[in-house]
Formats: sequence, C-alpha cells, structure tokens
Amino acid sequence: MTWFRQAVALAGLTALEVLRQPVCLLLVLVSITLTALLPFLILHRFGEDGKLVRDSAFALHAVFGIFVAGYAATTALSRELQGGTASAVLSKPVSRDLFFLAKFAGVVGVVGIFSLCSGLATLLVERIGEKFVTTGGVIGYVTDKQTGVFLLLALVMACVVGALANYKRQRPFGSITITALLAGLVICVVIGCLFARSGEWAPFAARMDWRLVPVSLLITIALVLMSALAMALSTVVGTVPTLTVCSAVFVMGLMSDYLFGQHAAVSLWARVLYSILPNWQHFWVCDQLNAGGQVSRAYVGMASLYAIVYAAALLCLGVVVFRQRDV
Amino acid sequence: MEQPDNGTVLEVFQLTKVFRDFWRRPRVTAVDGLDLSVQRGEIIGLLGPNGSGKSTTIKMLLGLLHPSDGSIRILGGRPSDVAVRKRIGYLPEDSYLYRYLTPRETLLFYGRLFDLSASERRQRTAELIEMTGLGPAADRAVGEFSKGMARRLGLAQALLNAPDLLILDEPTSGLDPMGCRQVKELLQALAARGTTILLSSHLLADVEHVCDRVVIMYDGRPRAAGTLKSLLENQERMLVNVPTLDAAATRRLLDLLRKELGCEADVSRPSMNLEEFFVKVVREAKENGTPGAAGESKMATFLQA
Amino acid sequence: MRNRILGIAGLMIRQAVRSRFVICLFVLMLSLLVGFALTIKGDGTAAGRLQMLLSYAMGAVGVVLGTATLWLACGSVSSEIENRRLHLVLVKPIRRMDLWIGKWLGIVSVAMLMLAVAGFFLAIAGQVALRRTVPDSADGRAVRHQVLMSRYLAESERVKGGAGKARWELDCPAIVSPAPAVATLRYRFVSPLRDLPPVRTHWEVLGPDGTCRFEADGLANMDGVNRLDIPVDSLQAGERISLTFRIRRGEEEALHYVTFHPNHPVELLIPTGGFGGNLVRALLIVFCRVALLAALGVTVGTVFTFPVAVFVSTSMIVATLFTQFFVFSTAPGRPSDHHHHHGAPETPAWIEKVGEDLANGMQFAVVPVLHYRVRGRLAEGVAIPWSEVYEAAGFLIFVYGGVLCALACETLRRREIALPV
Repeated sequence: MTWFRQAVALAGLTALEVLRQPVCLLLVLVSITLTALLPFLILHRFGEDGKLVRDSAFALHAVFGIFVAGYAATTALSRELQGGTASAVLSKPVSRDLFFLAKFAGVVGVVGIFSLCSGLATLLVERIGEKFVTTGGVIGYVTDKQTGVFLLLALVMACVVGALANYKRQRPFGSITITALLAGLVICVVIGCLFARSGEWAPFAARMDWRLVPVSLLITIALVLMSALAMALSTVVGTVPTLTVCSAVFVMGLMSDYLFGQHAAVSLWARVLYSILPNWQHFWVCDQLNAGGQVSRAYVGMASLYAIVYAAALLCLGVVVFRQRDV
Repeated sequence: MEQPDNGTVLEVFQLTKVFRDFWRRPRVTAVDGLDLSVQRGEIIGLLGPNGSGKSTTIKMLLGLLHPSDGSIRILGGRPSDVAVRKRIGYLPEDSYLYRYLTPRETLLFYGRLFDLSASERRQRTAELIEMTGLGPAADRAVGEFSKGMARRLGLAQALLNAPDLLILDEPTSGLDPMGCRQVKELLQALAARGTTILLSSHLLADVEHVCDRVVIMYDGRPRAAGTLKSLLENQERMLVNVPTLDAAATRRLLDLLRKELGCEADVSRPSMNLEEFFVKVVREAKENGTPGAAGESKMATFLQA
Repeated sequence: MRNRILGIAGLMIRQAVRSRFVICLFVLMLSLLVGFALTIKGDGTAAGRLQMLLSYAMGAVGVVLGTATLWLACGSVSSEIENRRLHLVLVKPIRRMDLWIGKWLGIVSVAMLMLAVAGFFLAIAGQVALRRTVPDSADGRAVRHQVLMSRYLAESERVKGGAGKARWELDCPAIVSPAPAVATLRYRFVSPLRDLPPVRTHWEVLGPDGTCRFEADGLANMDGVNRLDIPVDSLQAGERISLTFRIRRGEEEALHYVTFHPNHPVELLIPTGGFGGNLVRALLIVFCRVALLAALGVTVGTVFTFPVAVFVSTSMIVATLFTQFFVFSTAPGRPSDHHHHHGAPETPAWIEKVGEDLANGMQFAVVPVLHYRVRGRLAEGVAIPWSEVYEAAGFLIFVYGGVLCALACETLRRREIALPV
C-alpha cells in the first residue's frame, strides 16, 4: 500500500499548494461573493421565478471554475516541471505514472472544493431569489432575506476565521479561509433546511430546490474533464500554450453542435472533429429546470460516463507522454 | 559627489533589520545592531554561517531592503541616491540574469543603465568578456550557461561601471578553483587600484586570501571583527623559515635552540594547501599547450586606470 | 536618462516578442482579420460588407490587443520581482520612473506594431472594396462617399418648426472636400404606428444670405434612417447654412403624425477628407486606450504577483465597463425607476446619498476612459477629428498614465524589493 500512501500525500500536497495561492482564494471569494449578490442585483422578469438568478449562478460556477481548473492544472504540473520540484520528487522512489495521476487527483480535489462551494451557494441564492408567492396571507414577490444575511455572514466569517488563524497561529490565510467558507456554506444550507423564510421551523429540506444539484454536478464533471485536458497538455507544453489550447477546445467544444454537428452527415472531417472534441453542451443543462422540469438521473449517469471515458483517455495519453519526457 | 575626505566609503551605525509578518509583528531579527566602517581601498569580508544576516546587510546597503533601525552612509550618500548607485558594483548571491540574452547583450543592457556612451559600452563589454573568459560563449544565451559561467558574467556586470565600491555576495560560489583564484587575484588588483570591496562568504579560504579585515556574524550580530592578522596570529609561537637542512644540521639547530634559549622547538615542512596545488597543476598543463575552459585573467584596461 | 529608458524598453520589446502568449494573440488577430474578410457578407452590398468588416475588425483588434498588452504589462514588473532580476536592475543608477516608463514604452511599442499591421490590413481591405465596385453604380457610390470617407458630422437643434415644416441652422467645417464627394443628410421620424406609408418631402439648403443653394424632393420612410445626398457645391467652408423641410402639398393627413425623432437630431455629414486619415486617427485613439491598459498593468504589477495582478486589473476593467450602466442609470437628473414605485422609501436617506456620491465619483473617474469610441464612426465614414486624438492622448496617456506612473513609483519606492515573495 506504499503507492496509496504516496498518492494520498502527493495529491494532498498538490491541492494544498494550489489552495494556498492568493489567486485561488481570489477566484473562490469573488465567485461566491458575486453569486451571493445575484439575488440583490437581478430582479424578477417575465414571471420566470428565480431563473435568471439560477442561470447566472451556474454561469459563475462554470466561468470561474474554468479559471480555477486551468490554473490548478498548470500550477500542478507545468510549474513544477519548469521549477525543478518535479525532478526532486521523481528522484525519490515514486513512479512517474503515480506522480502524474496523484497530481491530477489533487487538481480534482481543488476543483471539487470550488464546485462544492459554488454549488452550495447556488442552492442558497435560488432560495433567496425573488419568487411570486400566493400562499398563506402573502401574495406577491418575496425574497428570503434571512438566508441572504446568513450567506453574506458566512463569507465575512470565513475571512475573519482565516485572518484569526493567520494572526494567532501563523496558518496560511488562503486555504483556511476557503475551508472556513465551505464549512460556513454547509451550515447555511443546514439552517436553510431547518427554517422557513419567516424564521419558523419548517419540515427538513422542504424549502430547498434539490433539482439544482444534478446541474451543478454536471458542471463539476465538465470542469474535471477540462482539468484532465489541461494536465495531459501540461506534460508536453508550458503554461501559456496549455491555457491557450484549453480555451480553444473550450470554445470549439461549446459550439461543437453548430460548427461540426450540422455538417457531420456530409463531411468526414466534421464527423471526426465532432466525435473527438468534448461537447460541453452535454454538461450545460440548466434550461431543463425551466417550468419545473428536472434532470434525470439516467442523464447524469450517461454524461458522467462520457466524461469518465474521455478523461481516462486523456490521462492515459498524459501518462504515456509523461513516461517519455525529460524532467 | 566626492568621497568624504577622511576616506570612509561606508559607515553603518546600529543597523537593524526585523522581518515582520502580515500583521506587522516582528518575526525574525535578521540583523541586530551592526556597526561597520570601511575605508577606501579596503577589502572587507562578512563571514558567517547560513542565515547569519550577511545577505540582508548587503541588501540594505543597496537599498533593496529598508533598515528597521540604524543608519547607512554609503559613498557619502544614502543607498537610494542615484548618484551613489552610479559608483557601486553589485554581484548578488545568485546571478539573476536574463536567460535569453547573450553575455554581450547582457553587458550592453547594463551599460545602458549606467548611461555609458555607445562606444564605451562596446569597448567595456568586449574587454570584460575577454577578462572573464566568456569569449567562446559570448553569443550563446545565458539560459544555457553552467552556474560558474553565469557567475563570471555576473561579476562582469558588477565591474561594468569601474565601481568605487564593489559589493559581492558569495562571489566564488559555483566557480571552479581556477575561477576562484582568478577572482581573488582580480579583487586584490582592484583593491590596489583603490576600489573598496565588501564581500560576504562562508568559504573561509576565500576570505583568508583576499580580505584585509573581517566581520564574523552569527544570528544577526557581529561576534568578532578586526584585521585578519590580529585575529589569526598566534602571539605565543613563532615560525622560522629556512631552506631544507639535512638530518644532522636539523638536530644541531634544535640542540642550539634548546641550549641557548631554553625553549622546545619542532620541525615540519610547510605544505601547499589543495587550492594552491590545483592551481599549480593547471598552470603547468596550460604552459604545456593544453587549452582549457578558463580564460586569461588579464585585467580590462578601463579597470586599470 | 534616455539611454536607461531605451535600454529597459528594448529589453521589454525582446521579452514581448519572445512571449508565446503574445505571439498566439498576434496570430489570432491576423486570423480573425483574414477570417472576417473572407466570411463577412453584410447586407449583400459592398458598402454594407465593408462597414461590417471595419466594425468587426476594429472590435477584434481592440480586444486582442488589449489582452496582449495587459498580459505583458502585468508581468513586466511583477515577474521580475518574483525572479529577482529586478535586484540587478534597481541597484543600477536608474530612477523608479525610468523603470516604469521604460517598461511602458516597450509594451506600447509592441502594441503600436500590432496596430500598424491591423491598420495596413484595413487600408488594403478598403482598397479592395474600391477596386471591386464600379464607381458609378449605387454600391460604388456608397463605398466611396459613405464608407471610405471622413465626414464632418454637423448636428443642430431645430430653430423653427410648425405643422409639417421645420428649419435648422448649422455650421460647415473649415474644410469641405471638392466635388465628386457628396454630403449626406440623415434624419429620422418617430413613428406612432407601424406600416405608415412614406411621406413626400421637400428639403432646401439656404446660404447665409437666404438664397436657395439646393432643393430636392424625396420620399421619406417613417421607420429607420432617411438619407438625402446634397452636392458639396451648395456648401461653403466655414459658413453657417440653414436647412428647411416641409411636407409637400397633397399629404395633409401626414401633418398629423410626422414628428422628428427627439433623440436622433438631424445630421448633415459633410465630406472633409479621405478614409486613410480617418483610419490613422481611429487607430491612434485605439492606441491611446491600449497605452492606458499598459500603464494600468505595469502599475498593478508593481503591487501584486503576476496572477493576482492579471486578476485585479481584469476585474478593474470589467468593473469599469459595468460602471457605465450603473453610472448612467443612477446618475443625478435621471429618475430612478425603482424608488418611486413605493410610497415610503425603503432605503434610508444616507445610503441613497452615499450611493449617489459613489455614482458621481465613479462617473467622474470612469467616463473619460469610456468616452473615446471610434469603431462606429470609422465604419460609417464619420470624421474623427484630430482634436479628439489630442484630447484622448492627453487624458488617457498623460493624465491617467501620469497618475498610474506616480502611484507605481511611490509603490516601488516604499516596497522592499528583496523581501521574499
């Protein structure tokens, strides 16, 4: 089980290294703060209760997630290869395959933590956002100010906890703040599950829109897939080309249906590209929530399978290349 | 700006540097109450183990760090004065060079920063490249250099302005013994010309060979200071140096000393240290016509003035 | 001093040219320009195609160039602090300002080069459009007189009006191009109903002494922009002319609904020069904006590490772009829709006061940055005056750039460069 312990140590170190970077903290804080402010910035429109807030929160998750994933993947590998840290680790009895895969696991950890924060915040803002209510004595638009206050408080408290830990114990501000934020968001969701908007006890979790979870999950899976791509590329080229190619693949994969899908029947090239490029549209399903709809488990399963197979192929390529290259 | 009349190039009084954390609380006291005065033409060595505050002191002298307490007067001004920096040469502990420039381009670039005229820049660059033995690599990117070659280039850029005060942080680290010897000879020649040199090192042999005076630092404080002679000389014993005598003559000499002066004496042969031996071997090999990597240590003309 | 600045600038240029990211963006810019030239169809006419090409190309060039500049600028100082190369530079006899100006100059030189390539491409695109159209065809005339032109935009307030009649006064510019060029009058009506029939109109151009220089009858649509070509012979440089409008007899029912659009004043576009000059001026203004980005990036990079600097400066730009909506929707003098719905104000007065002050402050700081826009005018053949170029250079490069430079110098002076990052 030495390999397992090595893998855990390497992955943990990678995740910690990324989480301690100031820019990682900035990305997490700005994305969650913007998400938290969405219900106050966006007003109801055309009777689509919560749709704009919800969609914007998902969009923030995806956009900031791409930055987090790209940054994490390139820091984990490119920088270490350039800086010589990788050669120091590989001179120890650590296999290259393990090193590469453990690095990937660390990146997935960072993306997972970010996505968890973002997903929880999305759940909360969907609850806060204005809705048209016709039950009880209330008719009209209402916002859940109580949860809103808790959410903003969680953000402030996370920073306070990070600052205190740094002040008293000299602990790194970045990683502690992110951990505290995650804990705070979980507490907010639990409180949200227990109480109604008016502050009274409510049946557990009745007021939460759990339909959002599969949508967040699919975005997370897409981000993991993106990290796999970035990691595989990092074995060959440096930070900047990796980010450039990732952006190109992202944009082309997003328009894959339009660019290649419609020509796939007639052109061999279009068919090949359509099959090779990851199709991000599979992972962007928030429109399915309109008018009370939801994403089926079968769909999530199929999309995950697609992503797993795809990521596995990319990682295999990465491993093979990484075995050959000089460090 | 002229040097002060008394010939003091550098005067440091109660210099203290406290590194603080984000909350401005003191974390480490890197330098603690250092007093130092350096005269023109002196070679002074800052000695000490790792983390003793040598590099921090040097960075404060150069204005790269601000002292927490105490004062610095360098070449009659403050470290931040542009006119002062015009007369200083600095070699950092690691040669932080632009990786994609060649040695020639590197020196031309720093020459521009010293505001040298185009012809002066070209002339000095050529001479320094020759002097540091980088001629064969003059048009290769610095990124491909070994540590020793980068060090030579670092030294060349420090000499570009024919400085009055040369500050060297670990000047011989990464150099081969020939390079070390050349650097030391160069420093002695520069000092003879009137350049003041401050060097920090933890390689004692370096300091011993070239320095007039040393300050030994530990934990941010000066623990011993003075001329090498005064610090190292054994006042209790003497050494008499004579050509090799045969066994009988040696015995007679020892008997004479015992009888006449009533003191015990012993006899040994002075030995070369390894560096001297190495230099001798390589010089002999060179004289026999085998070309080597090290360059000639012919002093650049603009430094001879 | 010049030596030092040029030395640093030269090194910065070398770094820029070696940067893979900048090379990628340069290639991207070229491929976008070529891609636009090959794929844009516009409304089917050569003029429409060229207009759309100019507009898209200027937009793409601005974005790509902005990204490249910001990337270079953010890394210029921060990465040198990180890898400690700055230690060797700052111990040399240079002032902090030399460093800042050198870096900035290096970056803007590279931007200038990229901009020149883009400008060359657009000039060629204009020439191709000229060659491909027949001068006397409607399309050829549109290309020559409406797009590849620099036309002074004379706007005026109405001085007299009545039922179906109106008169305007406006000043001709100091230079008016000679004959084959034509001036164009643009006007819009407010249309109360859809699908109203066109109106028969009569326009006259009167000289300062009241003599009629030109008159024309035409049909004007109730929707969209109406155009009327006016020969340049009827306009003389520097004089004040009058325009009169009336509805022709026999259209009395139109009197009830013909109203000039209150937000789109009547415009007379008077040709004053060629496309080349206008293109140069437009590119110079884009250059001023890019130079401001470079200044911002270099300054932010003196405070933060590279990734944080990129993040911070990008956020500042995004915030600035968003501020314009915020500023213009809450600026004083405009009723805010939100507060007047409720009987009692929900927000306390002091919050509103602080919000208003904040909005005013932002407007003061941000509006000049967003003020200089050239894309639309270049595509429509509207003159971008030299005065605007000078103003943009003054504001964006000297005022804002100067403030940023001062901030950076102060930061560098206070900052301990050799502290571990």
